[in-house]
Amino acid sequence: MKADTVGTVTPAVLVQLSPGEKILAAHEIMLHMDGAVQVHRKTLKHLGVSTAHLMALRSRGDSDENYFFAEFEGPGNVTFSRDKAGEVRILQLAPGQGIRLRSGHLICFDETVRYNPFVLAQWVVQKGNDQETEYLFADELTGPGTIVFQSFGNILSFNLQPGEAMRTSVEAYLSSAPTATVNVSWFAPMMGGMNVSAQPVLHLIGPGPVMVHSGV
Amino acid sequence: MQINVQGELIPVTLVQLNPGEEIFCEGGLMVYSDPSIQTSIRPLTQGGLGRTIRRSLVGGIPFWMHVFHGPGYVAFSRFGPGEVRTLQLAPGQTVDIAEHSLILATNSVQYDTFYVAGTGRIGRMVGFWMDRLTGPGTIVYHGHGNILGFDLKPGEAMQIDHGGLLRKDATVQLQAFNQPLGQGLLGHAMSFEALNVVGPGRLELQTVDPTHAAADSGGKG
Repeated sequence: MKADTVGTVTPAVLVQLSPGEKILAAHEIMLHMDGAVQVHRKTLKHLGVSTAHLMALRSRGDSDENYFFAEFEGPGNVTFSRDKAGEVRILQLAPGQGIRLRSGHLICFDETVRYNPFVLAQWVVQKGNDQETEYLFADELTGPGTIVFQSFGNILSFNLQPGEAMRTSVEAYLSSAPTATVNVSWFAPMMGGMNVSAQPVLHLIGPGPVMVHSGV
Repeated sequence: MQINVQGELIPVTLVQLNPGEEIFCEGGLMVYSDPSIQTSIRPLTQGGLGRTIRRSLVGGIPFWMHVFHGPGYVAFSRFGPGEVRTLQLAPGQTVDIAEHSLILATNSVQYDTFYVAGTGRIGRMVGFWMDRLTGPGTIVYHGHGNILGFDLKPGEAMQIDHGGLLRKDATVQLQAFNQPLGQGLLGHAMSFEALNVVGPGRLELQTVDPTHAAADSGGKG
């Protein structure tokens, strides 16, 4: 596919498809398409995601993972928008190259890209007298092929060396390489030995590229 | 300490702290940080118990401020489209910042809050809080949308929307008022709330009301 960014503040993505070329995207983010473009339904099962895996994700409550993607087949143009202020990145993945992308930020990807939604991190929070588990969902995408995604706000990129670490807030995490380790730790300011207002943060350890974004 | 603002859409404020340097901010603003950064908290108890309860429970002003201790880097964001400004405060210089607009201040800055009373009309504005910051030190704040600046002469007045107020010098006076829309009972019934601002001093406005932005996005204001 040939993808271009249109606009700057709330960008759209214009994808030009050659005859027979196919891309996958969530159907609700389509802005417009040519009449010649055909749309099919592609279930996650067809993408190699087992029903049990998908049900396990859905059972965690906060996952808004779709059961299917819309498959757009060329020739023609399709435009997508996530309706949010941010930056669009178009990434060419080499065969076997992977990226873990925060759920809800993927715009579209070539049919050659392997897609696997999963739980990147989880933690337990105290809500009143109850303990609840919260999850950070991510999509793992593996090449070959092109993927397009959007941040909320500006993207800040880092290339972590082996063993190099950084912290991010949960909201700021956008993506990381599968080689980077993501752990949950607690940002727990101390006062006189008392731990108050603790909040989960992500502890990222290299090697690999990492992206954070400045919006929510 | 070095402060750099990165990005133009939703800017991030990146602070490089030297050993022994400290900054403070509201909780929840950190985007990323160096693991070497140490953190602590500081309670806001200015004005005694009664004022603290009013400020925290009624006004929604955080009771704890987060303190970040160098060495290392730490980045903050107000998570909304806008502009970030850095201001060096001279000793004794005081500025007022709209609530939830301050990103950070150096530990030498004295922090307090105060309440701007509304007109008290039922169903209308009941007032709002502002942060009061006194130098010496550096503060960084976020304006939602674009920031418009005015230098008011003594006695010079402006009328502004309360959501548009971002920053003012302590010398600038504020007074909420009802602006009737036309004459008679209907005109008064359809009045809207605004602020009368009187100089002298620096006044900065923001072009997006953060309460509207938060309502539109369903996210943080």
